[in-house]
Amino acid sequence: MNGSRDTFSRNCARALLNYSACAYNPATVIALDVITYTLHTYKNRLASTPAKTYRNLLATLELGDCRLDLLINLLDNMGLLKLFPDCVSCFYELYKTHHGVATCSIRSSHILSHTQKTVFYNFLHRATEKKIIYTCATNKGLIAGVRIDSEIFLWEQSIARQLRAIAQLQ
Amino acid sequence: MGMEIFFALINFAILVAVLGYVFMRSVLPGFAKELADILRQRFSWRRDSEQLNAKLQELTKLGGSQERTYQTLEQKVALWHQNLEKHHLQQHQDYCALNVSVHDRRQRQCAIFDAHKLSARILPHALAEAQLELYTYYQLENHGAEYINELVTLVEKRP
Repeated sequence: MNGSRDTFSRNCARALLNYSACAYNPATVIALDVITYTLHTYKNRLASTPAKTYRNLLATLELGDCRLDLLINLLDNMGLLKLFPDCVSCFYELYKTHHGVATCSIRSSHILSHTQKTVFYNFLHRATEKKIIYTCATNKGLIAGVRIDSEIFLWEQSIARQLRAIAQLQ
Repeated sequence: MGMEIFFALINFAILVAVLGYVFMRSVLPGFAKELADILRQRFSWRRDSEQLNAKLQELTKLGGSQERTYQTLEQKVALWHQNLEKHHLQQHQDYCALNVSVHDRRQRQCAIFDAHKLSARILPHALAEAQLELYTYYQLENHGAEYINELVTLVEKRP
């Protein structure tokens, strides 16, 4: 059952991406990231959400280019609106693959300047050969250093990592 | 005189003939039979004796063979005893070696275990102390920015 649901969601997402031909836009990537995260976090609570709420959410995030409203209409007509979070998730993955986009989070012990962020952006771009959409945050647990993680890789150069390595030598 | 002698001789001859006839008719067959018996008996004894001799020879041969078998067996038993002793000796040596090895290993394990116990006690404490010191140095004394600058320089230089 889960397999068929996944296949259905993936097929819907692929069809929508082909139909809408949604162009690359960093703001769209961020909006899709936000909506995917929100829908997955509150997936259980959103089980009986009406289509209107989803439309409002799309309008708030300005995701008109992606024509996700068509997906909402289709699923609403079929009575499968509960599959919307899965479809959006698949759409986001396909969108990233289609446009060669990688999202990652850069966590540093101290706030990074714009120049430093650019250096890390270039480093990530060289390493992945993809367009990078990143979010920055500070994490004092690193003591000093930077940790970059995404779906495909993890890079960390920090004092906390060195301490962990020493602890693992035991 | 002459006639008397002649008749006496004739009488004697007749007597001898009668006696001979009687002897031949009654005594001689019994004697011959007895003789034949004796001879047969003697032959029988000889045959028995020959058979006995043959049997004795067979027995002697058998005895010799058995003696040889016994000697071979004895040699084998002696060899087996010798091998058994060697085996026991080897076993004992192996046991001693194993004992030494087990003892050594146990000592080594004890040493490692002691080291582990020591490090388990000391290392977390040292790590916690180091973490605290490093946190103070980089976060509270604001040396973290320098560290990140160095990191950025390194990343920039990476191909």
